Amino acid sequence: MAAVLRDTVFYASLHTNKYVGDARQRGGRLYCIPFEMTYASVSTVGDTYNLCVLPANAKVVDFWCVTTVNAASVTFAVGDAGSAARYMVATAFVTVNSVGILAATGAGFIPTADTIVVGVNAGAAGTVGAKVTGYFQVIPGA
Amino acid sequence: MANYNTPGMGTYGSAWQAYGYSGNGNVESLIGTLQDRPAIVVGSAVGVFDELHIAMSRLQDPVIFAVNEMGMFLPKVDHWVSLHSVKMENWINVRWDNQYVMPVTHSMEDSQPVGKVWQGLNPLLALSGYFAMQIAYIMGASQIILTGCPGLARRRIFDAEARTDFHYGGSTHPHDVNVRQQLVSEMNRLPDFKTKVRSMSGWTKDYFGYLYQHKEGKNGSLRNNGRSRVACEDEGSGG
Repeated sequence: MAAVLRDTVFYASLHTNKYVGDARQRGGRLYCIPFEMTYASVSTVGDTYNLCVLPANAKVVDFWCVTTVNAASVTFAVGDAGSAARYMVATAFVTVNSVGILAATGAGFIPTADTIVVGVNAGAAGTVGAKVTGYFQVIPGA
Repeated sequence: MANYNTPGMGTYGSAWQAYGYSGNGNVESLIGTLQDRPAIVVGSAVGVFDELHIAMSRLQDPVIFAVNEMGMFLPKVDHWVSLHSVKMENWINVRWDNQYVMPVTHSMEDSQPVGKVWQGLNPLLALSGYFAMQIAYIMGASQIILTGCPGLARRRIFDAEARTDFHYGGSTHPHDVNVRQQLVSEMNRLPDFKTKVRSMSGWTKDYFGYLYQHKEGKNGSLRNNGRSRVACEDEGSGG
């Protein structure tokens, strides 16, 4: 079968059908929501960390985080009350410079209400002083 | 399992806000209650008893904040603070056996028998001694004196040797660097907090300053390290 060129949803909407798009499709300003967390001396497996708040109706377009060295077997996932790994799947965060990226379930996600982003420590208790730093990039609805 | 707030949350979802901090839990009634009394935070680094003796001699009617295991050993404790809430029950049993009066117990997680839960305290410093320092500040202490909290790789009073897995901020390991950086960043954010703190030994003494004896005999002068020392100064065994 011959290759077919198809329009994506946004392309069709904006450039084929000439619909009026909103800022989250074209021309939206990008702003950054940084976060950081330092493990306290009482860390246990399963601890959760409220990292930041995503404003309602802002579209998530990017996420990234990095860790310092941590205890063996530590994993870190980032999600919210609706899905524990919406923004980052559980990722091994043991060696320094381990990086987490945006999960497919979070790409383009638009929360309908202000949403607390929660990091989940699993696999092992984090080491006191270990640090996870990162950011979200979102496009607000207006 | 506990849930922690991080700096990125700001005051979102908090029930109380005071002194640059926010949080939840059953602690709102404690805010500002020390009414400018001095506080002594008692950690477990070796040398703490000499440091405590000196600090007590230079302050009037201090409030004692015992940290972790120290709550088992001190006859007079007003507040007992630990990030390790699950260990408090065993420690409290030892204090009961010693027939000491039971102080108010503080942690950040709701766990029996913790009395005051600083849930969601934001930001929360990484070590129990610094957590006690935060509580003393939010409760309105006029001076906060660290004893047995040198911020160095010093053994605790019950250790034969210093820990090799963690150095309380006193090494170049990234974890120690982060712990110290977190404290420094917090003091930069709240300079009024930093001005109230002194330490009797170690790196924290270099950073916060020492508790000198006033040259006119008025104990508790919070003059900094950089100024001239008085003839009656006694550093004891402090670092």
